[in-house]
Parts: sequence; C-alpha cells; structure tokens
Amino acid sequence: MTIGCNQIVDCILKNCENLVPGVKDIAYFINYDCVDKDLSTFDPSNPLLCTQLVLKTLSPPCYAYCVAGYNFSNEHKTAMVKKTYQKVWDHGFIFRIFDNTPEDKLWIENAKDSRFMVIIENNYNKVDAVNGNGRTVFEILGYDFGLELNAAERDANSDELLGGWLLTAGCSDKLKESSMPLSYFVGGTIAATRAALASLVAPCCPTAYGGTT
Amino acid sequence: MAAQLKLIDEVVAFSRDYVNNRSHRTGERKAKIKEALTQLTGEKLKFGCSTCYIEALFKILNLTKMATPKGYELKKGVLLQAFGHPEKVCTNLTLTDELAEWYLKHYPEKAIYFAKIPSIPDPAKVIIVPPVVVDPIVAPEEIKIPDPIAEVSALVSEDPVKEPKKIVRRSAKAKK
Repeated sequence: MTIGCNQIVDCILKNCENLVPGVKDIAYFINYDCVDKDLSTFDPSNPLLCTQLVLKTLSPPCYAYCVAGYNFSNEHKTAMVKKTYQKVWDHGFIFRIFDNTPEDKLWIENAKDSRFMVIIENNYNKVDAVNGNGRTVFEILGYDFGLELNAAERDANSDELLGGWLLTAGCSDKLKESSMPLSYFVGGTIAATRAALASLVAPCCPTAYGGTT
Repeated sequence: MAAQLKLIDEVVAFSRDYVNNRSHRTGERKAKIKEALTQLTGEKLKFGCSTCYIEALFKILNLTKMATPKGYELKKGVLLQAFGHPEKVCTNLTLTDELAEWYLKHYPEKAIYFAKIPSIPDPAKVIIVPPVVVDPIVAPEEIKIPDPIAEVSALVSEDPVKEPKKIVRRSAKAKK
C-alpha cells in the first residue's frame, strides 16, 4: 500500500486570466481499441497531463475522426460520482449533427455500438509563461474505458436543430472513469500539441486540422 | 532534368503552407504547381478553382512521395523531440529520412515510436498464417464421399467373367 498518496500538496492561487467558457465546434473521435496505452505518456509529476497519445499501427489504420458542429453546438460536462467507497468521474459530451444523410446515419449506427475517446478543444487557453501556454486547451475524455453513445435523438420538427441529430456520449451506467478528463499537451507548446494532433487525424478532416478535405 | 527536379522540390517544399494558409496561394505558386503537374503527368489542365490546385498538389505529392522515400514512418500521435535540439522536433508529417536516421542513431530506444523502419517489415502488413490443424483420426484428404453414379458405372464396367473366378478360388481356399 502506498502511504502518503491522495494528500493535498499544493496551493491554488487566484487566476488573473479571464476564464472563457465552451468548447470548439470540432471534436476528434478515436476508437478506444486504437489507442496504444503502452506508448502513451504522462507527465511524471501529474498523471492528469497526457504528454503523448499514440495510436496503434493496425490495418485498417487508426485515426482520430473529426465531427464538426456549428456555432458552439458542442457541450462538455464532467462530474464526480460518489460510489460506496471510492469516487469516480462521469465524462459527458453532447454534440449535434446538422444533417441527416445516409452517411450520418451510418456513422451514428456504428458509434452506437462502439467505445471511443473524444479529444475536445476548450476555448479557454490560459497564458502561462512558466509551464507553457495552451495547457488548458485540449482534453481527452474517456481514457480509462472509453465513452459510449447514451442517447441519439432526431426531432424532424425541432425548432433548434431543424431536423438534425442530438447525440449524447458519456460513460457507462456502472463503469465510470477513474480520473477527470486528461489534459493533452505535447512537447511543451501548443504548436507541438497541434502538430501531434494533426498527425492523428483522418484524411477526411478539414485541411486546417490536418486532414485533406 | 535538374531544373525539373528543382521545380518539383520547390512545389513540395511550399505545399504545406499553400494548403494551410490562403495568403500563401499566390499566382506565382499556382503557375509552379501547374508546371510541375505537367512535367510529372503530362496533364495540361485549365484550373478554374482554388481547390483544383490543391488537388493537383496532392497528386504531385503522391507521385513524388517526398515525405518518407525510404519508408520511415512514425506512429500516429508521436512527437519526437531531443533535449537541446529544438530544430529536430518532428511528427510523422514532418519526418525526413535524415531526421529518422539521426533519432535512431542517437536515441535507439525511440525505435518503439516508429511504425515503419525500412530494415524491419511493416508490422501491420505481416500476414500470420494460422496453423493447419489436421484431424489425426480422419484427415480431410481421406474423406471420400460416395458417388452413386460412379459406383453404378463401376459395376457396369466390371468384367463379369473374372470376378466369379476370384470368388471360386477364395471359397476353394476356405475349404482347404
């Protein structure tokens, strides 16, 4: 048994930066089995900071697939869940698809039966001269077990979505994540993080994010 | 020939900027893309849209395969970096042969981050042949499905004289 773990060892000082709420419209979905956990690395002093997320070399190839929302339509929530003895974390990601093509339906049908991690991009980018800017930007949801699609709904007469899809991804009912969403920050800079992310994304992603479309 | 290669190299060199930044899509570069495509494929297309140039650019990149001609490939998501060498930071998209060889020479432990090293076969393409399990009692070759037509035809073709002789001989032996 480890003695002395789970103890508070640092201070939290006043944040002089303005918090910016919300996440970007683009999110990256990675099939859970594609992530090579043996090669993925974490900050030695902070296990909540993922410093490298590596995908396995499989055939067909593994990618991070983009899902693009519109006008801040993506939402993310995380909450602690108290179990009998331990406390765990529920990761939630709500996203909307503003279309209803057969390809979208197939995507939803496939996602329904799969488990996946989601990389989200926060609007909040804290300026931090000491540790490097951009450590608050990217987060990984579902690293332990992967998220699943918990709800998929389409209301053809919806005033809000105009017949698009409302999808809710989250943890399983019983198995929750052991930690809160991981911060994703590679190489000590936001530019290196974006470059690493660009090497993950599928060719179907927009060119601005590392894809070819 | 050298001038042609130089032009293609130049196109390949600005390809990333061209695709990612609209401000880098100058008329001069468009002309170079057009010329390079003509040199490589012989195509003479009249480009009317900006995406056509990007498509042409990808065609050039695919034909030249500039990124990893020897076939070094990093695993997706890997960012290689060496302490004290910020210029050597690279991902799979920016990896060159020289960089790959430099990393493998100075940091051989980083070989685990390579998806493909030319001297080592591609793990994704290694075909594992499942062992052939042969049933020791009944091997598949020994199973013979009786063919009624063949049996009938065999009976018809049998020599009616020879067979009774055999039966007689056997019965004679049995008597002895």
